[in-house]
Amino acid sequence: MTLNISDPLSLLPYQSGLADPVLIEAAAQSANDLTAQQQAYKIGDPVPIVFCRRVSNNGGVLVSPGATEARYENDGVTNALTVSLHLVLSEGELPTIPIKDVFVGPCRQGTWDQNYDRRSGTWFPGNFVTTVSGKQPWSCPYYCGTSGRYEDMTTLSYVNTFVDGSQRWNQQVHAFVREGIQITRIIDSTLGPSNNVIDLAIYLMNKSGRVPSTLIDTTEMLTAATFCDVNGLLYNGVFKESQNLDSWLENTSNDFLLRLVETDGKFGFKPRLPVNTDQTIKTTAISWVFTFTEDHLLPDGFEIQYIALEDRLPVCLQMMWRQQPDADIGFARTTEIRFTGEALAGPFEQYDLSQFCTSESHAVKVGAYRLARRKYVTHTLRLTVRPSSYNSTLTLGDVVRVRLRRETATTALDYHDYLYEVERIEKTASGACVFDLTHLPIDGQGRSRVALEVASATAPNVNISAGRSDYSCDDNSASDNTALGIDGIDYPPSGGNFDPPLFDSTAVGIDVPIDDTWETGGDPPIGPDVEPPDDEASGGPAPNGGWDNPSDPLETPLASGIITGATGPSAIPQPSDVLSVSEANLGCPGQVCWYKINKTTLVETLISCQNEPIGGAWDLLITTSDIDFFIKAVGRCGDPSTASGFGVPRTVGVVGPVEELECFTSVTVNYDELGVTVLGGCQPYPLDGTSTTKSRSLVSPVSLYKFYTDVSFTVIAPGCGGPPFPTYAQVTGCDWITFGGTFSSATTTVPNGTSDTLAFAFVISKTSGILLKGQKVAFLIDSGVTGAVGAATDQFVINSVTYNNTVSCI
Amino acid sequence: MGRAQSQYLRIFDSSTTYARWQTYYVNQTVTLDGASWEYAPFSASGIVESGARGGKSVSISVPATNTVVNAFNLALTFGRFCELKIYEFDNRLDQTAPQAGQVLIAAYTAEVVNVSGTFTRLNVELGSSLSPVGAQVPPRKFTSYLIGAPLRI
Repeated sequence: MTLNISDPLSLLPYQSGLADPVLIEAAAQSANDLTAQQQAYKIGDPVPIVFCRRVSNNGGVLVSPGATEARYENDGVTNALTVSLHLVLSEGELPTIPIKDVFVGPCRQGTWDQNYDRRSGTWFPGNFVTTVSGKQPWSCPYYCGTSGRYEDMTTLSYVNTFVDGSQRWNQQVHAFVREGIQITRIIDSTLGPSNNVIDLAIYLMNKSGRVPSTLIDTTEMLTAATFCDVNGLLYNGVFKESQNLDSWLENTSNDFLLRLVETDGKFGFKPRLPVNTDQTIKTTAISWVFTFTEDHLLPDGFEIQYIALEDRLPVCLQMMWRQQPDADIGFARTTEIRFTGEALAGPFEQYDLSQFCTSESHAVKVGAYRLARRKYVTHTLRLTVRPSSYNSTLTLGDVVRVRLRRETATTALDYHDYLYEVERIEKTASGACVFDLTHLPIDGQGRSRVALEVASATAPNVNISAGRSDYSCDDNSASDNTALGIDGIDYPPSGGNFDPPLFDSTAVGIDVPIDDTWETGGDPPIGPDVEPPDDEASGGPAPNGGWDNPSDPLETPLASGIITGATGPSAIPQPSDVLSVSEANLGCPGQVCWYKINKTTLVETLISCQNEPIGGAWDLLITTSDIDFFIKAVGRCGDPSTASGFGVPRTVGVVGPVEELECFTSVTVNYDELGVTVLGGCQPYPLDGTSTTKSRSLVSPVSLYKFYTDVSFTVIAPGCGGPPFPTYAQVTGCDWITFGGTFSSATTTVPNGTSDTLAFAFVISKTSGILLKGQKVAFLIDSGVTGAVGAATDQFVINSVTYNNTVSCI
Repeated sequence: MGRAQSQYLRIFDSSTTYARWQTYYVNQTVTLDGASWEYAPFSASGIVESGARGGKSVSISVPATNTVVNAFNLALTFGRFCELKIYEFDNRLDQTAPQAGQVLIAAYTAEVVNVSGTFTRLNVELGSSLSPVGAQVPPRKFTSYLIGAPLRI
C-alpha cells in the first residue's frame, strides 16, 4: 500500500514565502569593521565568489579577502616593517582592479599585483623580523604559508611598509570590486561580469554538479533575468558562506521578487508579481485564465487556510541595503517602510539585503511587496477538482478565479469569488487535480493591489555621506585608475622557499573497476545458473560450491530404521524373532510403543508400550499372529513437563511385513537353448530387470553369471560364445558367498536333443543345510571352452524353477 | 465521459535512451513519437509542479523484474534521467494504440534519487539532487593543493 500525502495547506504560506521568515536581529552583513585584524584562509574554507557589476554608478562590492601567505621583514636600523600578503580574492577570473580601489584598513596604500590562475607577487613567504636595539620588537606570525597552485582563482599580492611602532601593520586589506567573475550572461549571451541573480543561480547550479543542465529551464530563467534587469533588482555581493544550494535559491529568490519553481522537473524562476510582456510590473487589470465553480469541485475538494495573525499585523520594515559611493568605501543603510500612520512605534522587522543589494529602490520594492502582502493577502486555498481541460492548460503562476455559490438561507445567496494565483499543481494518478492557490487581492478596477503597491513604491534616493573627513592616510590616489601590477610566479618555481604541493601529493586516485558488472552490484558469487541445492544442510553442487551454510543439528533428522533382530532375508522379521530398539539408538530414556500394520489395509494396531528399557533396549517378540503385518516402533523421550511424562512421539523404524519362511532341499532349474548365433564375443545378455550381471574369474576365460534375487522367477539367461551343445558341465558353480554353502551340479539333466530348441535342466542343492525360498542364488553358466570368444553364442531360457522337498526352516 | 490517461516512462541520458515503458496498453508494445514503448505495469504517484517548497518529488512503483531492477540500478549509479509523461485522450475512440490527438497534460523529468522496496516491487523516487544536505555552495573549498599550508595568524 502506498500513501500519498500532500503537505498540509497550513504550510503553504511558509513554503511559498507568504509568511515572514525567521527574523534575525543583527548588524548588517556588509557593516564589517575596516580596521579589524587581517584574516587568513583556513583549509576547508569555501572559496569566495565575487559576483557584481557596477552599472550607472551602482553596484560593486567591497571584498575583505583572506591571506594565504605572508612575509614580514624589518629594517635593521629604523625597524620599519614591510608586510607582504598573498590574498585570494575570488573564484574565477576578475577584470583588473584599479589602484584606487584597494585598501589597507580604510587607507589606499601599498603596492599591489593581481593575477588569475597564478600566484601573485614574487616575494617569498617567511618571518624575517629581527630585533633592533632600542626598538620595540614586532610580533609577527611565524607560520607564513608555503604557497599553492591557486587554480581558477583571482589572487592579489600586497606589499606595504609601516614605520616603527605602527599599529596598522596587521589591519585587514580590502578591495572594492566593480566587476566580479566573468560568466556568460543569460540576457545578452556575453562573457563578462554580471549583476543578475539568475546568472549567479545558473552558475552555482552548474558548478555544484547537482543540477544537470537538462533540468534547468533556460526559458524561464531568461524571463526571470529580464524581470530582474527591468525592475532594477540586482545582485552585487560576495558569496562566501557555505550553505545549501536549495535553501539559497529559495531564500534569495524572495529578495528579488522571484520564486523558485519546478515545472516538468526543471528548475526555473517566476516573478511573484503579475507582469507585462516586457516584464515590467503589471498595474492594469488582471485577467484570469480559468474559473473554477462547484461543477469542478470533487467532494471535500475545498480547503481554505487564512494567514495567521502574526503575519497580518501592521509592522514597520527596516530594509537594510548598502550605499556604494563611487570613490569611497560602501556602508550599510536602512530604509523604513510602513503604511502611512501604522506601526509608528513598531513593531519593527529587519530584512538584511545589504550583502548584495546596493540599490535603495530594490530594497524598497522588496519591502513594499512584503508589507502589501501582509496587508492584502488573506488566505490560501486548496482545490481538488475533477480532470478537465485545465489538465493541460493551467501552469504555475496562472491567475484563476474561484466562484462558488454559498447558500446560507433560502433567501440568502452569496459567492466565494476571488482571484488566485496557482502556487502548486498536483496531477494525481487517479486523474484528479489538486491546486494550491494563493489569494490575489485586486482593487475595484481589477488590478493587483500588491503589484500596485510595489510599482508605486519609490525610494527617497538620498545619498548619505560616508562620514569620512580625513584622507591623509591614503598613499594612493582616490582617482588613480592604474591597473594593479601583474607580477607573479608560474610554478614550478626556480627555487627559494616555494614549495607548492604536487597534485599527486594531495590526492589519491582509485582506479575505476574494469569489469562491466560493478555498476549493478557485481556478479553473484555462485553465478546466475546456479543449481538448486540438494537435500543437504550446506546445499548441493553449484558452479562455485554449495551454499556453504553450517548444518543445524536441531534440523537434522533423528535416527530411524534402528529396529534390530529380524533374521529373514533383507531383514524380514520371522516368527520367533525378537525385535529390539536400543536406548542408545533412541538417544534418550523414554518409551517405545510397538504397532503392527496390516500390509493390505494399512490398519495400525498397538501391540504394546514399554516405558522403561530392559537391559538397555525395548524388545518385541514376533509371533505367527504378526505374519503379513509390518512392525512399527514409535519412541518418545522422557519429558517431565507433559502430563504423560513423555515428549513428542517419533517413528523410529518400520520393518516387515513378517513372513514365515519356506525351505527346500533342492531346486530344479529347467532351461532351453534358444539357438546359436554368431556374435562378436562373449557378452552378457542382461534381459531380466531383476538380475544383475557381474563378471567373475571362477574359470578361464572370464565367465559371466546372473545374480537372481528370487529363483522363483523365470528369467532369460545370458548367452555366451561356446560350444553348440551345452552340457551340464557348463553349470559349473554358483555364488556360494551369497548362497551360504557349496554348489552341486551332479544332478544336472542331460540335454534332450540336438535341434535348435533344446531343453535342459539342472538341480542345485546345498551340500549341507537347506535352500530358503527367497534366498539369493547365483548361477554360473560357463562357455566351457577356453578361448571360444568369437565363436557362437547360445541363448538360454529358464523355463521353470521347481522347489524340491519342502522342509522346516528351523 | 471519455477521459483516459496513459503514463509513459523513459530512462535516458544525454546520448542514449535505455528504457521506454508505458502502462496503459496491457502486454503491448506501442509506438509513440517514433519510438517503441513496452508495457510495464508501473504506477506513478502523480506529478507535482510547485512554486513553493516541498512536494517536488515523484515516486513510481514498479514490479521488481530483473530488467527493471537493472535499469534503475544503473540509473542510480550513473545519474541517468527519468522522464514521466501523462497523456490524456478519449477512451471512446481507438484503444489499441496511442491516439494521434492525445494531449500531454503533465511531464516530469528528473534524476533517480532513491530506490527502495520489497523483493517484488520497487519504489523509485524521482527528484533533483538538490537535497537539503550535501549540495553546498560555494562549491569549491580551499585545499592543500590550492593553497598549501596557509598562513597562520
